[in-house]
Amino acid sequence: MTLYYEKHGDVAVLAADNPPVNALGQAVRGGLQDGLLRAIGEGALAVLILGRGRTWFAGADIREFGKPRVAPFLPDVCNRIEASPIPVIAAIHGTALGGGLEVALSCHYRLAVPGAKLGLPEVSLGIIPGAGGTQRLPRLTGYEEAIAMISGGRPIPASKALALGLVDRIEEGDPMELGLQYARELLARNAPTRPVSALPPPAPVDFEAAKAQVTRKARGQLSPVAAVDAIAASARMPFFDGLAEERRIFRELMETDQREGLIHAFFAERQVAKLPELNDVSPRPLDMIGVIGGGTMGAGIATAALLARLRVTLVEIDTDALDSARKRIAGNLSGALRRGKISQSHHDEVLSDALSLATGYDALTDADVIIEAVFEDMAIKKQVFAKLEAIAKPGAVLASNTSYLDIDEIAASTSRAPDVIGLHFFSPAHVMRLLEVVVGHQSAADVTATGFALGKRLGKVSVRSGVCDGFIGNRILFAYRTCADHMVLDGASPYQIDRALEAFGFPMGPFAVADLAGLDIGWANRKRLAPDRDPRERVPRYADQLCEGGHFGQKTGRGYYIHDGRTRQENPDVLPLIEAERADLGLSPRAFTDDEITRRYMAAMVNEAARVVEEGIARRPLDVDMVLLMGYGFPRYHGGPLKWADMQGLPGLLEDIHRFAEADDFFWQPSDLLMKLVAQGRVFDDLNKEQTP
Amino acid sequence: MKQAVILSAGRTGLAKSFRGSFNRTHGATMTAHVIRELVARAGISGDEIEDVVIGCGYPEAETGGNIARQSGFLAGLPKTSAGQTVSRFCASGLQAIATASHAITAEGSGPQVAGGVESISLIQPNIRRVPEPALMAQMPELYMTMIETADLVVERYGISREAQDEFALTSQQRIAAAQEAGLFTDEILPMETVMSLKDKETGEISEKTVTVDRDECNRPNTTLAGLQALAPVRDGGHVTAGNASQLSDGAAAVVMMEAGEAERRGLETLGALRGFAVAGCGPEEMGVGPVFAVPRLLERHGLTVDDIDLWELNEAFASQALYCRDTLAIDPDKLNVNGGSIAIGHPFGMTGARLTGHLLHEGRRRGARLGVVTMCIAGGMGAAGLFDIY
Repeated sequence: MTLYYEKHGDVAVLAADNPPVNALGQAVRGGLQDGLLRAIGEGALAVLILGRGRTWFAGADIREFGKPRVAPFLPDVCNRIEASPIPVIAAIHGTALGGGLEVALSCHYRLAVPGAKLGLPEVSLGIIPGAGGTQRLPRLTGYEEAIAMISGGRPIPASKALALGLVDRIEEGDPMELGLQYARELLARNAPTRPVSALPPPAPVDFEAAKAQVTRKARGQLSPVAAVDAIAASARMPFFDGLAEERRIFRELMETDQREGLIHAFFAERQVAKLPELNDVSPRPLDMIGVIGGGTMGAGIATAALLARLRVTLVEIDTDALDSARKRIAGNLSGALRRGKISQSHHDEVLSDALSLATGYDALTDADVIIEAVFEDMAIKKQVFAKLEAIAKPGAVLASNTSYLDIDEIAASTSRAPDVIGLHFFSPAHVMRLLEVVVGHQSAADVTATGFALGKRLGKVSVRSGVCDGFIGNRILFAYRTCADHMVLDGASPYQIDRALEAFGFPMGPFAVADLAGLDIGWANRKRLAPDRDPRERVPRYADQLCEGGHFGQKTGRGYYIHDGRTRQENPDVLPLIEAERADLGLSPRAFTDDEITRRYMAAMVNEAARVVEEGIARRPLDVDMVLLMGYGFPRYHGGPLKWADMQGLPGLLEDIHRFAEADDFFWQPSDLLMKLVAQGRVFDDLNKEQTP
Repeated sequence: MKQAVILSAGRTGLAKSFRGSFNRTHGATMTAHVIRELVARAGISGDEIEDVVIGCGYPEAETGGNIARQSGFLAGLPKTSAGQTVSRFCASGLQAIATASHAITAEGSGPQVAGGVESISLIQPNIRRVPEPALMAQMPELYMTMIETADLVVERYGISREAQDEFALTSQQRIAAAQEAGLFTDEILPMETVMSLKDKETGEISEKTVTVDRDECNRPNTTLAGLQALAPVRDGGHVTAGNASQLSDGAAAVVMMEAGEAERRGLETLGALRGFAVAGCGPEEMGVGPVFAVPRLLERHGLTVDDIDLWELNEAFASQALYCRDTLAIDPDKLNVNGGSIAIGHPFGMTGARLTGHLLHEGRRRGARLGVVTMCIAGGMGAAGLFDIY
């Protein structure tokens, strides 16, 4: 039974019981419809709908995605509820999202408990609400708020829903008791049915202006813009014509690559931490976290742990360094307080109780997990691990937050190799959601499991990476960044490249990103790699010249761009440096179209990503996709580089690579896996499916 | 508890309104014909009939003046047999059977005739509609046309045009096959009458004596393509002439008596009314009424949809019939097995009695035990009757 029917006097209660989130699967939809008919058949005077367990209907049943639709369909069930001849009351707790909120909108009266959240997040899956959400919501809230909620996709708290007229009352307590009481009150005052569809549409707004604004924010994503069209239909059409228009737009979006990409990202996010090697492996304890180093990274990691209500001990070399670390953490926490991520009491408690600062490693003897975030230098890392080994309690997980160094080499320098693991956070660590869990050859399974458990506790998306230079993300970044550098040498400007990729959907092109991260990072990396460099590799010099001039990007105000606050303009010194280098190398520049720039850049990314999978550094293509989506600004609506490649067609991509190789067959070496998939007529996603039970 | 059994059930053929065989036949004439034949078939004497209950959607003019009383006399029933007319719009004929049954079971009444009649030909052109002004302001949907309500069901529940046309085609095909197989000979009581004929060229009106011995409205050659080519009745609407019931004229009835008495006399019985329920819904979606009435009926008898062997769900419009069928999850193979009103027409007050008679005759042929007749009703209602089939 997924939907219970109970009669409480004159009130029929329809209670969903479809754990974990009362998703609106076929049985629940059928149960709602049958329950309503039964209620009226039995002479009930009102119907109360609620969810058992932890929530109201949290949304559609994702297991039904991509399968043929099964009756009864949600739009019809919603219309059925709304057309009920007796009042229908929604008692909402937990989350009312997507189809769940659409069911609530089709009820005549809505009550919510204080913690409830309501939203229509369909745009994040590349679609729009399809069961009347775009037609009913504005009739309650007005257009401005409806556009914000539907095109933005973010849920709102119950208090805001009350202010918007989306719910009629908020009360603390048990949804069943509150709902019954509300129903009886309504019956006592002979309250009528109150279909939202019968309300006149609110005063229209300037939909073209609203659409323009949403278009700017959407960065190429279609669904938020289409949502405005659907909402606008409610202003000029009768209700049912508006519903048909919503349906038409919904169906159109269902057919798009963006919808496919976003659904892929949605499922990949849920699959990424599910690894067969961790089945039945229990993580070690992780109540007490040690962090070594209080720079930007160490302070960020400490902040992330504190926000997750873990106890943290941070170690620095002296009291001055500790003082700056404390200031950084306090700054991060007050930012979180300002944005409403934590309460004042949580904030105060964390600073006074949960955080300890120390100058000696002895303070870490009780730590369950110790993460070092010291300077990226193998010799220094080894020293730190040698000290850790001496003081850490047996079984403590010893983690390095390195972004490219060899975890196996670090592990081998200790006598506790199975306890050693890489935890690659992304800066700022308390904000960025990606965590690469770098598993060394000797890392114990329960240490890997602890890495994932910590990631989950911190609210991160954790991806397993094997050991290689740069792991999954930075290794692939290095490849497509190199491709961009080559294009600059051959005639494209960094600014054209940035514009082309921003048009593709990246929030920033690679040169703007480099300015943000600091040009010194790439400079150091080039120096590190120089001794072993293959002579056929093409490495530009102009970026080094910028650094040699003391220009490291945003932090010094000057890099590829001149930065002033949030605005950027092209740095006029850059093109002459590039032209000089081209002249030195005897290269005559040629013109690139934006399309060619994107094709080359993406081909380099996909090819390296394929190699990362082929070598087992990433277990599955979806692991790569998650890393690029979560840590590198890859547009989510393209699904990730390998999903994007699948949708573009792998044979065409491989042909591109072969053609690019005619001029540079050192850089453009097609991945074996890519060639194999093309030969077999398969796609990357087939590999995901093989490894998903 | 007492039960009312049905001794005989039958009807006139259905004739197209305005141009069909009954276009000038008085309501009492049709009804009396049916009563006379069925009382004879029932194996009882006319003077035993305690009451004649006749349903009529528009009980006025040629079907007014307590048409039941007129029909009883015309059928040769004595002055001692009473008569009442009931109206529940499209479910009037079914309501009449329920009313007669209740008199037998609750009041210990003797045998009753129950049925329905409608002459759309004679009544509809002269209808005077007078909405109550305050109600009109407060609930305008109560005064919507039936086509508008059917279009609303299409929009509200996303019923596709294709599904409606396919449903209509099935209705036509099933009626045609049943006619071919002679499945209506048990229930149609051939009747001689006089019709008006209008010469298309001259406009001259003449009279013609005809015998109505079959249903005249259906089109056995209907094709899906033909249905799909029809334009909606309303601008911007969905319902077409092809996927809505036709306007037609006719009368139908049953003869009922208490079960124990029928058994003592060794009378042949067709079945018994076991239960009856009505339910109200929004007037604007009157077509969905059965989805409320049927669960109420079945719940009271501890039955589920799957316990029912045979269904007659009136086809006022394909849109509402489809919605009711699918919402109630009725097996299409058990529903309107020999077609329905879309093909042969729907004289409002008559249809409930026609469906009952057909359910009992067809149920007997296929060995069905339990049957349900259900109908949607103007004003936003559903009615459903549960029958034991013998």
